[in-house]
Amino acid sequence: MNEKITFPQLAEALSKMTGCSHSTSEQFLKALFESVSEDIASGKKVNLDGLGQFSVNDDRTDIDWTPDQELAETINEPFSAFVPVELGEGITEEVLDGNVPIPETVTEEPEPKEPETVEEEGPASEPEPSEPVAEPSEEEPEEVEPTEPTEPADSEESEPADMEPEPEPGVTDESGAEIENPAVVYRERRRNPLLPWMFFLVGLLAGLTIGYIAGRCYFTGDIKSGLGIDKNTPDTAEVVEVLPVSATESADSVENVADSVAVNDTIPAKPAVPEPKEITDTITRERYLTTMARKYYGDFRFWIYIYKENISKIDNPDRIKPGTVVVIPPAEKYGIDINDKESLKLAEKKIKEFYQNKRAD
Amino acid sequence: MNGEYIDRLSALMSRDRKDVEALMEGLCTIIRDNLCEMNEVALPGFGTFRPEKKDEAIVIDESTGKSVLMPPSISVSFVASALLRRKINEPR
Repeated sequence: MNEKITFPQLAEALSKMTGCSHSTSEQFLKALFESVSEDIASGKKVNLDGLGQFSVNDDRTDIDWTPDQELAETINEPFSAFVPVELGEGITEEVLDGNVPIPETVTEEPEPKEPETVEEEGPASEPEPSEPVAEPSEEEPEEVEPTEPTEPADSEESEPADMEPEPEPGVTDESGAEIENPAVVYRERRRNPLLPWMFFLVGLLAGLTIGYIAGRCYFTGDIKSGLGIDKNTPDTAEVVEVLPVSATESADSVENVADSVAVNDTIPAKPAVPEPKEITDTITRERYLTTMARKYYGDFRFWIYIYKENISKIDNPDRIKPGTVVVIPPAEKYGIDINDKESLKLAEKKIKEFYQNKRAD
Repeated sequence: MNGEYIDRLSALMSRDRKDVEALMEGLCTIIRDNLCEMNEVALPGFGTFRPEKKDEAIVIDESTGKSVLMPPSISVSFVASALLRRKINEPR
């Protein structure tokens, strides 16, 4: 990361990769770039597969390099998931008026993704008055640079100076060649001061969602109902679940199956026809006592009665096992009435008692 | 184009064409891998490939006036060496 690979290192790596001797790779590298240089100097366009095209620029002061498409794509692979996003006008104005990015951060940042959250906090939160002044001066060299001819005599010195300003996209008569697509002519800002706000917003949203789910779980007593999964339990599951129960029973069970299914499908709290037969339900991964209580009685808190009815089958209502068939007691048996506040209160009290006893054990 | 150089170099180095081909391919791979790791690759007498990370930025499309958030990218610049520049500037 951010190292400089020198000629000996390159030759070493090459000899390792190809199995040639070190001297051979050195010889190869020297010979290759010597002949390429000569071709370029003679005005040829040299196209090296895997690297790109080299050619002399118009005023014969520098080399233009167009990177190989594949090379550009490989290098930019980490960012391939991103696409340019058009911004609403309001956002732009805010950004332009408010915060101005600090230019140095470009070199500071070795990692492509992670540090952004941390680092970008900086430019957004300190809108120093000096920054707007610094910014235009930072952009100025970009415009001046292309017109400045490179002197051949002291090119050794001018070399580092060339790299400092970012080559303006689309400008070809500069030493650097761009890998980015230069299709859009644009004015560039180094940093997006909006990003910390975006991260902040996303974080806030995630926090709210988690808080909401956690809150629901706390009050309802189970995760699934907290996530709202019970709401869309398919009716088809009902048929499957009731079938094995009634199938084990007597011959006239077929009718009962049909009956109970019909009842379940329509209005839950209407056990009119199958009064003599008990309603049963099966615990699944998505169907808990609470979900059943809500389905049959209209409120999840009545789960305590289902539990009491099935106390022989359920050791711990917080650790129910999928596949357990439970009997849904008729509402009258425990005085369950969704419209009666007393009934709800009683259920709540019973739940409280139950957990108190449990803790005492 | 690569083939042309491979031929020329295999003659120059008096080595098998296959060997030179492998060297050529290896060189491209090494340069690419190093650039991917944000390493500069310096080729003395020729130039330096220098990768630079560009952060995401808001750019304004001047034709439409719309501002667009461009994703981050790595752009590689090639800086020709002093020697090569002198070479191309030589009057012929």
